[in-house]
Amino acid sequence: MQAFFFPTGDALRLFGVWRGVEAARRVWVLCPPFAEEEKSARRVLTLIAQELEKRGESSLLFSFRGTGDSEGDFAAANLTAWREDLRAARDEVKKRAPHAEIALLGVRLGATLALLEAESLGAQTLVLIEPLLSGRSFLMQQSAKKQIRAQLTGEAEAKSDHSPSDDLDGWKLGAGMKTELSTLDLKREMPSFSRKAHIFQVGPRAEVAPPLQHFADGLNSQARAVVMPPFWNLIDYSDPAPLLDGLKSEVFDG
Amino acid sequence: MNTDTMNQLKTRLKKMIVERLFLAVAPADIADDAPLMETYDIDSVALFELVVGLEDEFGISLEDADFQVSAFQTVNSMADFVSKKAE
Repeated sequence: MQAFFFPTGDALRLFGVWRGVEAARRVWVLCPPFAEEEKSARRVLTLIAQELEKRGESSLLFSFRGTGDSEGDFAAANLTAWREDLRAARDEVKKRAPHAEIALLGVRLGATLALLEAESLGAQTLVLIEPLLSGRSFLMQQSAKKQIRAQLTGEAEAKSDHSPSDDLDGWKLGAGMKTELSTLDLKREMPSFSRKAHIFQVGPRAEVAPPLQHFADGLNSQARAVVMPPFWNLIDYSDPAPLLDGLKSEVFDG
Repeated sequence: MNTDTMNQLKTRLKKMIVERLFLAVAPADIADDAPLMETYDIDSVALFELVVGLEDEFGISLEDADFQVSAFQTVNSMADFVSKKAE
């Protein structure tokens, strides 16, 4: 395993962790979700990277600008810049493993960004784990999360000097990020990807929910339901075996 | 909303609660007036799952202005909340 920084086009340094050999046939760029969800998803993404390494495949797990150990100001980040960060990650992979196939795997917003960039990055494999279909819905949910905590702890929401949806669990949203998230709607504007994507629903239901199924149909891809708690929202450990098993049987063994 | 419709709504809510929180109880065993947070040890993370469940399965979007934790105290209060939002 190597932990290092790699450059973006605008000279920031993003933190990344490389697992596996540089001569691997396929290298995965692992795209984490947003803000607090990144923290909760980290362990699962690391387990996925370790599973890939066992199979002789390599991966780069990185942090978008303004998150984790990457440089940059979160409040100044936006989705356009994060898409550029994904491009920088692909460039780093190409530098280290010029002949490898590129595969993208993302969780939540990381999945959405991976889909938006997959075609232009030349990805040959694309795995989307609970892609964020509606940015507005995401913002409302995050605001509800903040309201829950404030009401359960008696913390006065009025202490905040900006509206609840400007601050997600301590992550202050910049105007650009808020605007881009508010207008992000994959159900209305389906990106194109010329290959089949592997789409995973993670939650309590064994059947794929209609909105995600519709989304998968629009991508000419299959969606699969994995029954396990939504790990990106949890504080406690959740057994990732159902998701890892699904990835093995649907993607890694294929 | 008439009594039958309200009862159907409560049945759907109980199923959603059990599924979303991975509870080891039958939905029918949840009493309409049982204090959910105390009875099932629901914390802020679990409560958030119920918020997501309302949106995913009932089409209820929670704006900041109308969000109150008290709406999630019992199945009865959740049903009242959902029926009012659906009006």
